[in-house]
Amino acid sequence: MTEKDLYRSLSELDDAVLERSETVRRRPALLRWGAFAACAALILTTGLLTFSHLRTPDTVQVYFGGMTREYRKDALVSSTSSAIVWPWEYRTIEEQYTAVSFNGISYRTRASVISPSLLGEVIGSGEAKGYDIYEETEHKMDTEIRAIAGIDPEVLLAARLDGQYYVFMPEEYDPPATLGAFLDACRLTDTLEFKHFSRLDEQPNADYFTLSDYGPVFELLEGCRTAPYVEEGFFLHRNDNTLIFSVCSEALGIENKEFHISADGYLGTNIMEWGYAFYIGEEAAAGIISHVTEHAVPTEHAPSVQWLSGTVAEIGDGYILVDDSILCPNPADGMVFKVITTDPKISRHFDFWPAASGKQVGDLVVVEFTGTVEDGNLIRGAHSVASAFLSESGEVLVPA
Amino acid sequence: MDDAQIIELYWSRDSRAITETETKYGAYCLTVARNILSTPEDAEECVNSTWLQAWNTMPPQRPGRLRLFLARITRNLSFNRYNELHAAKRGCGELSLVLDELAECADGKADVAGEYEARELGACIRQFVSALPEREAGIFIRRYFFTEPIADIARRFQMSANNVAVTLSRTRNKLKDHLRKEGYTID
Repeated sequence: MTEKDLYRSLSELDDAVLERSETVRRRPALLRWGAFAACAALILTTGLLTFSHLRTPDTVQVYFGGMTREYRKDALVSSTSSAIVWPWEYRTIEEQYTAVSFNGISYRTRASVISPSLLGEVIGSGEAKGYDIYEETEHKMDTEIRAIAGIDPEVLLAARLDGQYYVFMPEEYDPPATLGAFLDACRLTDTLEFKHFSRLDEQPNADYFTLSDYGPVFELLEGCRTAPYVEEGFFLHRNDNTLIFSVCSEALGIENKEFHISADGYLGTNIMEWGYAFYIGEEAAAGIISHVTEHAVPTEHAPSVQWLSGTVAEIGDGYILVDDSILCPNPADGMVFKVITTDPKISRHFDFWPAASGKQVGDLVVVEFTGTVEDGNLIRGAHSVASAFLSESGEVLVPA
Repeated sequence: MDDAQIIELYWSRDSRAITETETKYGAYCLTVARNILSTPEDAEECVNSTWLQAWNTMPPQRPGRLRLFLARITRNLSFNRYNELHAAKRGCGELSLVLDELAECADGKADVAGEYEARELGACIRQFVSALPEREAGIFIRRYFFTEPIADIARRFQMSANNVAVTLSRTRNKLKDHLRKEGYTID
């Protein structure tokens, strides 16, 4: 029996069973951002080339890591995920221990390291938990729990794993009743950093802007403290007349999350993974939109993650060479990038076998990295590599 | 037009059956095909072939759920097309990942040759899925029947992509055990 036999055999499933799978089973009365984020990641990856500008009818300019490359227009990148889970020993510590119990509350990881300078006092000991699906074994260990930057531990806390502290948030959905309560609970005025903003209706080719001082925005938000939480409002009121701010915060364990203001008076954010929305009123929304529009300064879009596509030309000790000529209109214009692979999240793609994820010379891959491409086409900030496939039309399909 | 009326058009050999089916289920079937085939032209070709096969099978068939009846045809046609393309080293896609995942539950030794063996395997899978908790069965079906990307399943079930992957991994382990108990040899 082959995998194709198994796939074929699923055609024998009853209609009733198939039909039940089409019914969306929502968790009670809420929309969870995490699931949407996966979808957003898909769009973002697909947008690798759409963030760039057309050069000729057949080519596009692609920007990554501070450099520009000219690729075939039909070399579109889309993203998907494999459902193969890394074995326990190939997972990083934050991937192994994804849950923490403390004071009777279950927390889940934000997979984000936090600097000691942002940590508060030790508030007790918790239990970190992880599950090895291959051995069907639950792993547990005691962990030191610390507060974060004066934030209520029932909102966020830090747990020590293997010498570093990671941010965890409650598993249960417990939105604040008002915007004021939200601002206070996460101490947003101190912890949140705005990066840039754009108009939703201009995505994905929007112009990006920033402000030299976001203080007035916080002041305007402080004036909306009584704005009530609106269940499911995050998606309902995220429309064409919406300004989207990209925000980050080490204290909250987030990078490139969303904070939006819609002209119809709603503020929405996914900084706590769940889609939160508050009704601040049309007048307040107009005030914020007017202020940021008036003081906007053009800036570059700064994605936190960038992608390099190409074929693996060499697998060396602690590095791989990736050749992008397959994406070039003229293969002779291809460049070879040296990608450092000492990060275990990358090296496991070349070590782990027999999973299908094992990479070899000649495989088409997409490398996810942060930072810039250094002299000699060196990429040090790579933290993930995914298989890709080139279809007849030139489309690259990337299972991340 | 409701499904019963469309099916009546097929039975009365009225060519509007195809137009009405395409209007109502064209986008749906195209999604099914596109999950399997990464080239739009191939997917569209399979959807067009779906209408022809529906025409050729009604009558004698009178499906209870027309949408799923069509999805099944599109899936089979797209899978056949995938095999042709794959043999020619072209046009991989989501299905390549799905097959990689299912390979964990297969011995990979030889194709199930006869119709009897195929039906037996189908019955075994049917029994397995029917015993799964509803949500787990749903996730399994979205991935391995509809070939949906993990991100789409995550959105549908309001889960993180990682949770979907872990759930599927656990279900595959259960499937492996089930197949072993049913006498299939799996490493």
